[in-house]
Amino acid sequence: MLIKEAIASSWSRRGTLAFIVLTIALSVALLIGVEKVREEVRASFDRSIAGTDLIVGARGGELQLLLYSVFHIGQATRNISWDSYQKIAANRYVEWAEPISLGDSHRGYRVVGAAPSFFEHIRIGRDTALGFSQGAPYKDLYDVVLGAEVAKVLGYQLGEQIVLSHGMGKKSFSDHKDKPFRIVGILAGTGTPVDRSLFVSNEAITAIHVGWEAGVPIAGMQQSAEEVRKLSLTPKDVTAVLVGVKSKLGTFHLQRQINSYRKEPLQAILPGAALQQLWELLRNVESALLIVSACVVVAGLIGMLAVLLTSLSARRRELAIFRAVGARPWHIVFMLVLESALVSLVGALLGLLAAVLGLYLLSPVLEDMGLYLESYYPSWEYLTLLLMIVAAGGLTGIWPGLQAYRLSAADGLSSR
Amino acid sequence: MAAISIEALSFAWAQQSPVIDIPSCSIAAGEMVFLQGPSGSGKSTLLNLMTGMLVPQRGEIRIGDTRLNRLNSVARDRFRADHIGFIFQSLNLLPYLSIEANVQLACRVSKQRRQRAIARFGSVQSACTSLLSSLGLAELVDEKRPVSQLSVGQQQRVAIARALIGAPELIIADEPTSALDTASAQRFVALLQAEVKAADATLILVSHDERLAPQFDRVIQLADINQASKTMGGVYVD
Ligand SMILES: Nc1ncnc2c1ncn2[C@@H]1O[C@H](COP(=O)(O)OP(=O)(O)OP(=O)(O)O)[C@@H](O)[C@H]1O
Ligand SMILES: [Mg+2]
Repeated sequence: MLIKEAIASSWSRRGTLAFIVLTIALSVALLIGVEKVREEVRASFDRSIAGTDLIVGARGGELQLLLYSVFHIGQATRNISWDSYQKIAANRYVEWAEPISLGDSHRGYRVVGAAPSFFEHIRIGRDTALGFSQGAPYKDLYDVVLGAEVAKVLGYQLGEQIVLSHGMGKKSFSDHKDKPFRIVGILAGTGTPVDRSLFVSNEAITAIHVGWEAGVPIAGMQQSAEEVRKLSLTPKDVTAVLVGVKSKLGTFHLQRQINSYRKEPLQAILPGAALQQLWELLRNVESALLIVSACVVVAGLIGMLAVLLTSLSARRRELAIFRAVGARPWHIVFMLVLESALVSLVGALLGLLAAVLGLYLLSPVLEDMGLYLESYYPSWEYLTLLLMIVAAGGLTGIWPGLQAYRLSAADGLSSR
Repeated sequence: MAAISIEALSFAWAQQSPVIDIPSCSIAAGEMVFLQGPSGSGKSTLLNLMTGMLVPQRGEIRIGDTRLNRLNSVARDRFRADHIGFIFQSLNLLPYLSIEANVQLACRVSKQRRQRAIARFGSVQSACTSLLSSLGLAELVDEKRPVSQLSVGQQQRVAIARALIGAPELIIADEPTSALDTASAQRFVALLQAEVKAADATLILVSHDERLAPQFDRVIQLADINQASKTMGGVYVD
């Protein structure tokens, strides 16, 4: 085998080949990037809901409920009453029930009203509990716990005072200025929407809205932070209730009971099933993306084929020399296959590197879009993908190889 | 035993009248043959037939005791690798390989030539070194001079080394001196012949240059052995 010679030959034409390598690298980077983002999206969504058996909210779209309650996408049209929450919590199938109140924000991050037990019950993935990197759950009414990203991005430390804003949006219209909160805890990173949330107690949500019943502060109805403490702060309603059941068998009984609850139009959803709906919805988009990026790889390989075929006429001399020393047809074919396989290999590896680097550089943008990458590194499964690309690249070399042999056979050993 | 024997050999390029039509021709082992003929008369075509790059439509061509025309194409390639050293008019060398790698290329393709080089010199490397130094190229190798920076004459001498390494029985050179001036051409032929003699090989050299003819054992005018040229007499103008 003329491996050394073939590599030396390719290396001598590295200027041209670099462009094909680049083309293939870009296409592979795109393919891997798309695949990776798709995987991460799924993993991140799965992680966020894994520990919750049922989500209860106002009747409406199942997907909508899942999206606003867990992923903070969109908003609830209606709340559910505190009374209903208490009924759910008391149900015999229920192990735990965590009421959450949404609607406020802090510098673009959502504020979640939740009981301190929320931090015990909510699971990230199958069985990782929420952990505190600093501090502890809130004890006082005006205490707040930050998600990892909130603390990191906004540079907050324990003990600092912050002000919550009414409604969503980075430029908030009206702040709850009169009732500042003290940071008492910062959660460890989870790669879920928890990182991008601030937590206060359900009572605190009620407290900051005293005098805001119309959605805006009503003049003369305001009470100071200390005065509010004296009021009964049990919420009248909450946005949703996250439920853990005692046994999985109870899930469906409970779901049926809640869905047929007479006093209030409630719905209970299985988060996994609702998520499945989302994936069904997105399946065509996913495969379209995948097909497009696969087509780009194919286009890269076709580009390589074109370059290899055009390079042959410039390589006639070289091929004649190989034939003169008695190189067999397969020697010639092998040289071109090796070249195209090497080019694809280098391209694929560079593409892999570019994908990792690209994901790393783009991760702030992706995070802004709500996607937290668990890692930038592709899994071993991509090895198969890369091997397939290298194999496809190698196979691409067969045609120019046969062409080269035909050409050299026609030329004979004459000086051309 | 004849190194080459040809019988009733006929070859025509696709859809053309025959270029080669040789009733009989024989070249003895160890002979130094000067093959002459005007441009376009079929010299290169005949060499291609001898190396098995082309297959005759009729007739037989035998190298040693191998009937080339009975071999399939892969076997012919293998035969060429093992038994024939070929020198082109120019541009014999791969520009991306070193001088030594160019010479050793023949042994990389042919196991038989590799084994012969090892049997005689201990290793392919020392066979290569020995050939290059007897061709006066040792210094250039030591300098690690890239092939592209050699003069044409030096390149042709490297080509001799490649043709001869591993001791093939037959050396074929197609106008190897046409890019050289007369003095260097004569020196080149002398060097080539010395090496061929040392290797006990047979040499067939094609050239337009009559002045080289006296250096050879035997001069063959292609027109004398090739009947195809007679039927097309007057077509070739050199
Ligand atoms: N690859 C080819 N395809 C078709 N015809 C060819 C091919 N090569 C050579 N010929 C024809 O065969 C004839 C003999 O050509 P050849 O190259 O053997 O001549 P030559 O004696 O070597 O000439 P020169 O001294 O110029 O090298 C010419 O008429 C040429 O046109
Ligand atoms: Mg010729």
